[in-house]
Amino acid sequence: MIQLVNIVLTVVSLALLLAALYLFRKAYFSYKAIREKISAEKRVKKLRKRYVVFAAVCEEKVGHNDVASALRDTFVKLYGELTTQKGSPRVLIFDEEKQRGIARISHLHVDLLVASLGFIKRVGSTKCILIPLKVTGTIKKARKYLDTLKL
Amino acid sequence: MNKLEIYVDSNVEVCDEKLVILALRLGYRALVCKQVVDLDTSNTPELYRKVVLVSESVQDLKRQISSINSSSCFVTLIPRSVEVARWASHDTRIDTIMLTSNNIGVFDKKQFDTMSYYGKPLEISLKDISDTSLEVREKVFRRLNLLLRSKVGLIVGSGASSWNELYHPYTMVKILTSAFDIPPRVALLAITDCPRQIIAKKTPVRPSKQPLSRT
Repeated sequence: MIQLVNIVLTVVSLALLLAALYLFRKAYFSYKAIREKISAEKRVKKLRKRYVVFAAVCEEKVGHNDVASALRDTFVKLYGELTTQKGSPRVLIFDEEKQRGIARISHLHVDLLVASLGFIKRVGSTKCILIPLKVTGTIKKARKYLDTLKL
Repeated sequence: MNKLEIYVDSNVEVCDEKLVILALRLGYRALVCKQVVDLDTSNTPELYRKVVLVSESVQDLKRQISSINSSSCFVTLIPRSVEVARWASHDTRIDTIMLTSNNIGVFDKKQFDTMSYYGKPLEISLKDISDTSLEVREKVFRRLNLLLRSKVGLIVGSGASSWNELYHPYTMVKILTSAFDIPPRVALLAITDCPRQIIAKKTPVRPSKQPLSRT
């Protein structure tokens, strides 16, 4: 009689162990799937570039280097070196005749670049404002807008 | 025209010719100026006069406001004490209550609740806020977040005294969203529909060729 009880208890405990293992495995895989889904949402696959076409309205004509340094200084002052490092804002083209240019930045920081354009009140020692005209995804389109857009 | 495309700069110190022409190029349909200089050009945005009252006591405020024709001016109050701010919240002659770097302490939750109840908008000047210290800007950030929760209307002006202090409307929206965490729609309303509703009741100093819709 005692032997029979022992056998039954052993079988029951084995069955419980198997059920626990099965449930643990199921829970582990569902947890892993959820974790991967969340991290995939957070992860940006590739940093894309954005091109901001802007116009400079100044007292006198200003040059490429002055505009580039004014933009960089303002961006660093407002958002810090870390954001500048991640966004890497650059003035790619500045047409000194038309007083228009193209700035490049990562797609995550476009709004910050546009905001920092607004804070520029002087370029060098010249009173100046920079006006954003258009944001594009390719430099080809940005070049097109550089010539065609009206302020 | 869509009412969210009628840009209004509700706080300009001096409207001279160069500033007015640039404002028109930037897309502003109306400017509210403290001082309007004689202009030669005829093609301008609608210009409205702004009166800014600064008061520390209710008696003083009553005395100041009695001498103003509020139907023709955009009346803004800078309250220096809590009781003035509370009193101004329900006075219909005052159009907006202004938050500056010197009177942040006046604006608490109860003040915003009162303003929300009487539908009085809060006004801020970007020039005033951006020129102050980091500590003050932190306080302004917290007050604006409180304001958003209380659902008080917000009006933002540039505070420009010369042409290079004007902001492009798109830039202004981006500044408000990135620096103060204001939702884009609220930021857009702060430079379009909220000030337009106030100036629609006023008589312009200088009407434009394309008048604003009065609805």
